[in-house]
Amino acid sequence: LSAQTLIAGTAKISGVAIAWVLLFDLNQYAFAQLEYSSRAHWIFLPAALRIIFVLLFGWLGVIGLMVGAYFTLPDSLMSFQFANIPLAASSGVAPLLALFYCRRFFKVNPDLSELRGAHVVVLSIVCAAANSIVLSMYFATQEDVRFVIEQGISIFVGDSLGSAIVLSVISIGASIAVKLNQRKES
Amino acid sequence: MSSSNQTPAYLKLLNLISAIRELSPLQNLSADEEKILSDLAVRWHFSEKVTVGEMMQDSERVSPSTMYRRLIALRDKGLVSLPADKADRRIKFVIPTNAAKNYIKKLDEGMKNLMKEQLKD
Repeated sequence: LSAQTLIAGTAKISGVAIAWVLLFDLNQYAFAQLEYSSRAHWIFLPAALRIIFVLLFGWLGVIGLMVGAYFTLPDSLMSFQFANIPLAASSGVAPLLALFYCRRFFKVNPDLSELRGAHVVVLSIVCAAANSIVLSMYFATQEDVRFVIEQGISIFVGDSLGSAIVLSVISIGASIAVKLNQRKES
Repeated sequence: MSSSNQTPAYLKLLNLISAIRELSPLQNLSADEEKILSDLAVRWHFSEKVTVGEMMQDSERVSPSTMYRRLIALRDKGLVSLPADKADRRIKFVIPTNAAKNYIKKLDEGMKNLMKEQLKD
């Protein structure tokens, strides 16, 4: 493990965590009215980052997502909150579960060649479901079942809608950039 | 899954963005359509008369009906025309439009630039 690898790894983890925190803040600003509880939103933009960063950076992405998610959970900035660790871990575990499950149906090459738009959508939806199930299982040990179910549904819907919005922005942005570039070249 | 595999991150990013770009309603060509157009470019190079039937018969990765739908999509996007043969109306040709010719020209220029860069190295 060279110093260069360590620095690159730390930079990736920090970058992922910072991107999560920034998108979380944007989500809080834009969709504050759509909060079901402090841990569940009807639109949750950072959810899109889960699949994107795990596909791009693998385990470093998983760690970055966990770190970013930890710092956006209630009271985490005030003092160390042990109870927030499983919640933060879900952000890293959910995309892993989604990848593991979806690899039964389509191939995900290490270089992401042959990855299709539809695959990214399916991965995002399965990731939203995995996150909702993992969190609901954790909350079920502490809270009222009806609240847990409602919250689980809002997490699934919020993650799916958030991913859809972010993926749409990226896809339209990339298409416009390509078109502008083509126009510039011709 | 490994965080330290040999694939450079920028290559993964390009592949990921290209996959996500397929979702855009502004995208002109899907990856499959691009592939068919490349295949057509090779065929047009060797023969001016490429028929829809040939394309459907030679499609290895997809069914003939899927190939037909993709040719129709290319026609709808203004890249090919599918005129019928005057002698036998059942035969349809796949003819490149100017847009397709420009597209192929760009591909050709890109390949030539790449070759030049490779030769320099």
